[in-house]
Amino acid sequence: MVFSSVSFLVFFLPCLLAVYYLVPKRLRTLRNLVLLLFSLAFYAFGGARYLALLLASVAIHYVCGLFAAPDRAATVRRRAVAAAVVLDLALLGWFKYAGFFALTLRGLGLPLPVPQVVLPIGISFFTFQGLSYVIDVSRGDAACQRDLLRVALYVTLFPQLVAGPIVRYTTVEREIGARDETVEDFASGLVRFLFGLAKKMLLANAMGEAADAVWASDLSSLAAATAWLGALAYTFQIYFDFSAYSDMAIGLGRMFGFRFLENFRYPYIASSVTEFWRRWHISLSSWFRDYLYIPLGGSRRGRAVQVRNLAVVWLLTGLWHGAAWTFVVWGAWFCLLLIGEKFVWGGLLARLPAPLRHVYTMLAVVVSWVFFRAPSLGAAAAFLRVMFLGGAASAGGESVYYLLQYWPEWLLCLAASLPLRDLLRDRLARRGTPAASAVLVAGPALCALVLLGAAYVKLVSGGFNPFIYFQF
Amino acid sequence: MEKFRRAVSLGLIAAVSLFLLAALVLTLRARSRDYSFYENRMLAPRPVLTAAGMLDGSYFSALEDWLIDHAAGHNALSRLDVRADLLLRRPRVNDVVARGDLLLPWNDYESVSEDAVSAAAARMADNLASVDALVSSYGGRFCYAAVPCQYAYYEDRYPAYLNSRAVYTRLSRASLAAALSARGVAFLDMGPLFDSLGHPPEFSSSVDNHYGILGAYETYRALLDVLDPGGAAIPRLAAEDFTAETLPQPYLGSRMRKLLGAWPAEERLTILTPNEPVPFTRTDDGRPSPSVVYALPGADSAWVTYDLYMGGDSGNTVIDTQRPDLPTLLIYGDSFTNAVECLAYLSFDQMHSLDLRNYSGELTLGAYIEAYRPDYVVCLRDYEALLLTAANGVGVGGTKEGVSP
Repeated sequence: MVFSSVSFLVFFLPCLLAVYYLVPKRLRTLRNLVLLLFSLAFYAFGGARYLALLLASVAIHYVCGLFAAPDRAATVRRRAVAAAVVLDLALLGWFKYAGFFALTLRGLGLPLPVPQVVLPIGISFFTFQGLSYVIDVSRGDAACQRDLLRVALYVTLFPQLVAGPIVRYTTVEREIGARDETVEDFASGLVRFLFGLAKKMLLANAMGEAADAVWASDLSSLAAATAWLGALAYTFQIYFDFSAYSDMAIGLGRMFGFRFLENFRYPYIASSVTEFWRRWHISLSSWFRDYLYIPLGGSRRGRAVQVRNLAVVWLLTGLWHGAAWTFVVWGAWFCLLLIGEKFVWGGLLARLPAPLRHVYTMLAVVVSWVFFRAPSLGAAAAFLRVMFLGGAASAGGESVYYLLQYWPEWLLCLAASLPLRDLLRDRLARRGTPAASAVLVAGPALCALVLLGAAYVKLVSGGFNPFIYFQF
Repeated sequence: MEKFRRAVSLGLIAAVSLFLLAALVLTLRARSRDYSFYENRMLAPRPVLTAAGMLDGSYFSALEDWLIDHAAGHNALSRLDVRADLLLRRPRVNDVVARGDLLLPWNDYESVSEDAVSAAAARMADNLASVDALVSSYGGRFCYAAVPCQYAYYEDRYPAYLNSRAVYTRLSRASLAAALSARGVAFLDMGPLFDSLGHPPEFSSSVDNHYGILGAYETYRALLDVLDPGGAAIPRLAAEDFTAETLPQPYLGSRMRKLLGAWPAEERLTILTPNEPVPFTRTDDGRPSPSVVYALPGADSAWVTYDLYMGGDSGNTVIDTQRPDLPTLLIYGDSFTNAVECLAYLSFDQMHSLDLRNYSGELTLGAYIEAYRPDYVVCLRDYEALLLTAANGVGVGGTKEGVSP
């Protein structure tokens, strides 16, 4: 099930809210049980056959968590973590990578059968979440949770279950046992959810239509300007699609008393690739930093080891996003840029005027999304060739069409990529007049209502509505 | 301010709750429908719950499709979405290009290969030549007629950045004309003729792909000139032999339908009634039908569609005027034949009409011609379908799936 669906918005969510809030606050366990059952139902909507896999993941992390607790012997704890890692990698390896590896080995001449495995929704997200729990318990950063219901709720909590953000156990540890749902939190969560829904329905979907249409074009007749617009449309689509999902997840969490950490902080205003990755998919990059890069030695063991560590992290970041060589190259591209900024051109970049730094960063990011979007490396190379070396000169009318067809979305995407809302909020807060304060309080709520209406119109009139990050 | 904040929070929660509750109740109470008139499509059926569907998720996916189609206010909200897109002046709304008073079709961008068009024209010409050879073998006469569809008639009304298909249209007409000429097959292209008559808007429609009855009348006249140049064998009806009547109901053209009626309806359809009626019998797919060629809307009907002419597409229609001294005609093709048929039967003893897209009979095109041996055979298609060898573009051995001669 996706948040931007009639089944979720009109049926699932109202039913869950009604049942959840009918249970008195003091019966926390019962409220948690309601949330767990609805979360499992939410997952089952995408195909109940993978419910067993989700429950197996819960069991693995619950049991491994018990043995990874600080009161166990060091050997037992190490083995518990190793078991969790091996089992998680085995599940991921089979469900996500078996076909890719078999295909790659076949390409090298080995006569291997290629297993046809359907990728369970959200496996990369809930696996990483569960693993972080076991590691945090073994490190003593989180208390071992002996209540199976609470571990199950942590792993399966529906807002972030299928498309993130990756919520650490330490973030919600206290809230699972004793959270305080308030009217103000519920309302602010609702506003966040509705803004996310509108971002998805009004911006991401329109940009997705444009990007898909360009990508479906015959490259031999594609003009360079059109290819650039297609790449830019996808750049906006992936941001507004994924950040919208994170907004909705964070908002829904808030409605049930959870405070998830931010996953995006206006990544397209970054003035270096390093800064971009501090603003983009923060929960994933911090996961790799804390559970892989730093344990490998991070930057503490000399330049060569640091480069190796970065390479490992970015190879895996690429593969985490998808089992294809395009994702590996996408990871390698960022690895190259980050190493370059760290050791080669970082100093020069810092001295450049801000607009130039921004252009450099966006160029690097837009190129990366071409690899991300392309169905194959060959297609990515061909698309980049059209972008940079020019395409069919006579087909320029298409680019005018894409500009005019989606002109409201281009403008809104540009505006929404900038921290204008924060600037406005700060300005109103500084003004401090009663009218400014009233706008600060009521403005978001009124906007959210208008956006709900607009998003509902788009939803009910049907059309293009995929979620990109569901495939991970 | 805290009180105000709480009031705003409660107000927002109440408003959203009411909105969702209303959507839920209205959706549950909505009448289940199978067909969407405006969208001209079958609506998603209510899925049947099965264990397999639950396990692989297809049940819930189908349920979402059904919910979207049956959600409260689906039509009204879809129309609102169309109105918003028109207001924002998007070049393309639901695959329609609104240009002033015209609703034109959206054409995908395409790269036109001269070689590919020539090859397609040669294949089409081969099919038509096989029909021509068969008809000529028993002394009949065959003609392939091409009429401009709406995007071709108004190709100059597209903005330069959209695809009017002008290049493809020009190439396909020229290639086919050359290929048919090389094979000795008569070819009538109505485009230049419409131009010579001043290219009036009445020969096409502002809101539909088809022409109206006036364009059809010119096509009827031109066809008879090609089939019977001297005018000795086939009687022709002049314009003054008809009474024109414009229907009061607005014309719901296919483009307006795509815009869910969110466009001011100004165009009206006309019918031409002969001043001296010719009695006839009519069968459709072998079954007797009322002896009418215009499916006139009821007085309470809000709209009229192109189905006015001949009652819409039919696989096989036979009109018999019981005048054995006159020749017989077979006219086959896509729905552009319908408006011409409303007039053509007046000049023949029997008029057979075939639309191989809908024909459910056993006969191939060649077998049908062999069975009835019509004196004149006409294939009538629009520019868009000019080179399509499937369905009505088949040769004598062809079935509707498009098997070549």
